[in-house]
Amino acid sequence: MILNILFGLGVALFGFILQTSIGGINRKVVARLQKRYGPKWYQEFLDIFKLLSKRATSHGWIFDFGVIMALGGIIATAMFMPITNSLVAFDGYDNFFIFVYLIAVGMLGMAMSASGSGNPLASIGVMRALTTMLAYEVPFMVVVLTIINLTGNSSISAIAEFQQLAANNWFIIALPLGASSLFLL
Amino acid sequence: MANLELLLFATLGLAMLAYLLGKANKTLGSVITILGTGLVFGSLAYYGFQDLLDMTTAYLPDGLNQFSASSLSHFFAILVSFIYLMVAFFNPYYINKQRYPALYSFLFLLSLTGVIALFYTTNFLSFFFFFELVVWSSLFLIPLGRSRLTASLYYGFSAFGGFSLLVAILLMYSNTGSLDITTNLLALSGSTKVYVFLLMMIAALSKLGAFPFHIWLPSVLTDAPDPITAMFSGGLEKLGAFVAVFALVRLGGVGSVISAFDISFFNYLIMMIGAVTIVIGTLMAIRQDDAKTLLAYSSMSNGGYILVALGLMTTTSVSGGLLHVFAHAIASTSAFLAIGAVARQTKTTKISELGGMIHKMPITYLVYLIAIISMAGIPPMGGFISKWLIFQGVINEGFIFVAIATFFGSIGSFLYVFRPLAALFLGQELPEYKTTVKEAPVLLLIPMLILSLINIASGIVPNYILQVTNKVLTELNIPELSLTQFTIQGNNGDLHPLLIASMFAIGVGVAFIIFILLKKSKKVELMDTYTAGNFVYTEQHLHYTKDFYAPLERLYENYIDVMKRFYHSLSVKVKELGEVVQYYFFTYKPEITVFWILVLITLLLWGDIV
Repeated sequence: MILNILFGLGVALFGFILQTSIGGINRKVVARLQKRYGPKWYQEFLDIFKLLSKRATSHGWIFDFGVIMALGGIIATAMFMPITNSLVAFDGYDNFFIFVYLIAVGMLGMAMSASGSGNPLASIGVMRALTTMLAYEVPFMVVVLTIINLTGNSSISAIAEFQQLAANNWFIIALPLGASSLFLL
Repeated sequence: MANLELLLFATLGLAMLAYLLGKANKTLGSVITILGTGLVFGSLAYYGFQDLLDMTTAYLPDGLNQFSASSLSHFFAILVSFIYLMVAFFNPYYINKQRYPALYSFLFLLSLTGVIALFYTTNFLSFFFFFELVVWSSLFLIPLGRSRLTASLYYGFSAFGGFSLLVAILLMYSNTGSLDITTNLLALSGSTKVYVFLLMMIAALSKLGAFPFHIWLPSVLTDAPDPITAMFSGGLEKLGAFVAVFALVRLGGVGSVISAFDISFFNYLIMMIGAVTIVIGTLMAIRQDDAKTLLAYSSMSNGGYILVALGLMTTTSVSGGLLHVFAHAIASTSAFLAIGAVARQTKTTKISELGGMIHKMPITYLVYLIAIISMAGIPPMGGFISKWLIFQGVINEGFIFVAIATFFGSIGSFLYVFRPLAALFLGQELPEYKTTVKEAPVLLLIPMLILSLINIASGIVPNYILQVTNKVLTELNIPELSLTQFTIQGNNGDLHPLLIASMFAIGVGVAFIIFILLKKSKKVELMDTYTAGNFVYTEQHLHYTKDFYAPLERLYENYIDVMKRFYHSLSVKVKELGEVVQYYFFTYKPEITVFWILVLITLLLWGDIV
């Protein structure tokens, strides 16, 4: 169990490193397209750690608590994420609904923290974020529902395995309408 | 008390005592309500869980004295009496505002007597009797709050539901010749079954506050006194779910089977009604300014979930529906109690008139936070497990329209539960509350904290509750949900609630360690960061509360009054009909009298003239 938890934390760390590196590479590519040299690929890491080392301001305990809750929710979500079919921290429990709803904890925490600052602009931001969420989450869920109904399994790694079977296509080919609406989102 | 009849008599006696003592001293009467509800919950929980509750009767008259214990009755009775007990703690603090405090305590206990008897009775006629007892006793509790008009609205819809129930019972009696609840429902067939089903569903929908009988729910829950609001949402609304279990699950599939979905027509109809209820409740909740109205619409939308789950009639969906009855009762009661605690301090529940209550009432804030996390169906709270089970059922059967509605309600609930959180508890602290407001007294915090703990516990170890609902499923002839010690097996994957909760705790722990390792942040005032050094003397104008989701509300604001207008025009027509009847039958005008005499003479001489 301890090993599983450590592995899960490793997955979360891997996710952080992967996403931040891709962000850096992305900046590099964009810069090259615009005929600039661009920052180093690890520039995003430098930015994050520099920001964290600065002394911040706080608007009271809910302002901090909201952010902690949000980061906690995101870490917990990442811990359930499968990297490959065999590299899963909690085998059999990488349920799709866990991802949808645990990520919502992150959203709620962020929104709570923003409102805790008392800034009216933050509230407008929260309003826009939640309204957009209503707009994209429902079609997203409907597309995923189709996939779950087809595979009969809501585990992410099982869905991935299902697509590798000889008779099955990738869902992007089998369900083109759903895939295109997902890309629109 | 191990005997149900004695328990009912004791509650009734305590109700009388509460009235008499309440006449002398307001607070004393309301303390009796705590004792009475405590007695009922204690005996039901202690004997009910061991199935030792004695059902023999000696004193009640014939017809009213047939009780029997079943897991379904135990589940609902223990839940509702627990909600009553939690709400009763609020009574001593709110009794001073009531116009008739003694009556309030009396009716509170009387309605509890009715509800408990209703859950255990096996005779349909006494079922109707106790149903009406609950309606009448709660009817007079509502006008003790803000408005008297609301009570008539409640009575109108409840009477419609009650009389539909009566007609259903009489239909069954003429068809089978018995009034027994369990055997009677199984003996029905053909068109009588459809009529009985529809009539009983009208009773259930009107009690649950579902579309198209939802008009009363927001008005009643807004205008009733604060503890009564919580009692309605957590306790009395669940009576509708109880009747729905009867009509939907006990009767089985009704109507011809739709082959595309493999479900009976009327069950599909009920699921669609549930879906419409979810959507309407969500959209209306988003645009409310009063926190109580907002939560009222949210309980309407959650009632829709229960209907969808029960209409589907599979293992996962019915256990999800029963768990949702539990989780929503706990969550909505604690949310309403938290809003009630704020209202006690500030005398208002309007979101636009409140702000920054967290600075003075942090514990109430936490209670509300936990309640809304459960309502929105986010782990690690009970609401997540029940919604997950309902989704399992809906997805597995492939009901796409119902699934869209349930997802919409689930995501939409983030929007509306966040409004009181952001504008009422967080945001700018309004100057008028800076000095006057204090944290709620300890006796109010106790029930709220107990409810919050149950909220969390039902999300971490829901299997204890699911074992109880499994017993109910066996009674209803549905296969049991397969459980291990910690996992729940759904249709398309397992869920390990304890694992999710502990990983969430670890995630928060890691985030907290990162937070501790960072440099300590400087505490600044709310205005410090964004006013750029300007002095602001009227910070309440920087509190964004009105029309929070204005861009979204604009999309449907033309359609919000459709049902209200329908009922209004219906009431106008009924009134006109009444005027016609009054004009021709109940007047003292001589010309009308002469007219009737002429008609009578014509009728009497019919054969002679023609």
